[in-house]
Amino acid sequence: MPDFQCPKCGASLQVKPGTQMATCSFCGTVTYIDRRSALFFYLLPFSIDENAAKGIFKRWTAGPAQAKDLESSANITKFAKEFFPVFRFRRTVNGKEAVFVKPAKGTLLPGMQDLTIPPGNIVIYDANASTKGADVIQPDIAIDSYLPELTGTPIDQALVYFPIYEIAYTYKGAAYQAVVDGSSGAVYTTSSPTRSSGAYIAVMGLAFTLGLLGGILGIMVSPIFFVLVIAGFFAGKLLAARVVERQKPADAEVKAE
Amino acid sequence: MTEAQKILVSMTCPSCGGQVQCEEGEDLVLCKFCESVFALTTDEGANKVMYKMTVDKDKALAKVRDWWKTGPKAQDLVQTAQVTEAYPMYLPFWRLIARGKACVCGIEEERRGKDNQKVEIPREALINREYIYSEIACETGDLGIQSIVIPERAQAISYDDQEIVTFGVTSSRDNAYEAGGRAIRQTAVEDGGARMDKIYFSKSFFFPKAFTLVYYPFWIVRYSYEGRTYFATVDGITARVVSGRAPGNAGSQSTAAGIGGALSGGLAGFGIGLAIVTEGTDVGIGVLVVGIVAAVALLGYFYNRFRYGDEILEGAVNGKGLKSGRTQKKVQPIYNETYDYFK
Repeated sequence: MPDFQCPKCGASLQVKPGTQMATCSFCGTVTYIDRRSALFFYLLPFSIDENAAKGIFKRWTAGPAQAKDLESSANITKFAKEFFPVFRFRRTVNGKEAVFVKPAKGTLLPGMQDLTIPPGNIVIYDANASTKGADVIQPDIAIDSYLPELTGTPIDQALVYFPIYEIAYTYKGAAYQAVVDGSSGAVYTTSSPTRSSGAYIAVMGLAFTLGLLGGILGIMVSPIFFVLVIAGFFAGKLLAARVVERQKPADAEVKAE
Repeated sequence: MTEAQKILVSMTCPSCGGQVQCEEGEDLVLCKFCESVFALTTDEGANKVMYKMTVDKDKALAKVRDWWKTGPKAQDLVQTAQVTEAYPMYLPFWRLIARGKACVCGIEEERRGKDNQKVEIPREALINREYIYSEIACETGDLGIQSIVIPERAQAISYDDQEIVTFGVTSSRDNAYEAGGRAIRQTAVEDGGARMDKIYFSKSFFFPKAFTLVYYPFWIVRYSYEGRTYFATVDGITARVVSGRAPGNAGSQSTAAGIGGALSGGLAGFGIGLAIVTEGTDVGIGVLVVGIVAAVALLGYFYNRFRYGDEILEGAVNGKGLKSGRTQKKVQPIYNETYDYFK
């Protein structure tokens, strides 16, 4: 973070993120900040702690798209709290403001290819900023490598560190990765063990078939056959209960190793 | 000159050299010493408005507890869920107020008379309405909030850094402005063609009135249930639960499977049976068609509740689950500013 001094009195100047004007707290001088050539360092603090992040991962494993026993059988092998760096360029392109986000670190982590800065409270990253014990991943791509390829003229540019939980887990012998955004709680994955819809379709198909037979026979042969529709309901409900029933995990806590 | 000094531009009056005061977003400045007026040519800023949070923590939590009781959510949610944290925050939104005008020409089809003959009635609409467009100015992440409606009673306060966490703006102002203009024009055309079955011609315009960066208050409530972390967001002024995730109810899921399967099967069977018994008369075929259409609709509705009912999604949250509630539309009309013409 560049150190600013008031051009009038020389006192140090507090510059808030995203502002163009700063007022000196000593002499009251208002200063315009020309951000075109400076690189600002920002940080999005964690608003989700480790336990909540583990809980969010567990909630995700119990979702309807995931394998039914994923919640009870997923075995977390890595759980890391990190700050991931990206460059954010605000530029004027054809007279309009455009925002470009580029990675400052090569990565294969899920969700980091979308390169969106998650919603959060952006603060200045300097010696006073607390990282709360998270690893700050250092950028390995220089800002210079992007500048020539960007169109338009600069308004400002910043290196933004945003909070993530990197999770590696195994399920039935295969390894998977997930990222939980430490600010809003979004879960990013590339591939994950999914649940088949087969059992769901089979159960409803059976109830449907019984209902269908009941309807046809009830009209054509005897109203007594309408009972089959009711039988279809109970058969469907009982079997469906088996399908949706969850195995309670032996250990309720998802543990990091 | 050091790098840091180069990016500070001193703001003194060009006429008298006195210190001038200006606020972010202003483009005209009056020097208080020599009274000269001059224009600023900095980056165009948008005006900022912040609305006062009027819902306290207890009320927000009470609303979330009420929300737990609604819909097919886990039965023991109210008894066993534990609120782990609840904190207030401000989210940024781009808001465009503009007059949308559209000329839409098309036809309305109507069936008339005994033999149900199709008649085409030419229609013309001139839409002249004021619309408000709002769009979140940062990534939505897992907040499930895309847009807002600012209630009448909302109280604007000056924007300054308070203790309440304010989320930063990360999207482009001009992109938001363009998207807003497009959405307003499209809505004006849709409103004009609302009664038309076919649209042959449409042209639309928008006249911007105000473009503002709005900071709107919300409560974020995180709670745990069976070791999983779920959340809900509560509007900081109206106290409505706007988005969230909640565990589903397994009992409702299996009931949905039973009802959906048996009822749609029964309806389809009833239709088929009747069509056979009546030997293909109009009535029999009619019942068959209605029965099958109803069966397909029921089957789809209940299958969704059965298959994705493990998790209930409120608002605009992503992912698989049973959607509940409504997603706030990005464009809202201002009804008392409407001067339409229909023919």
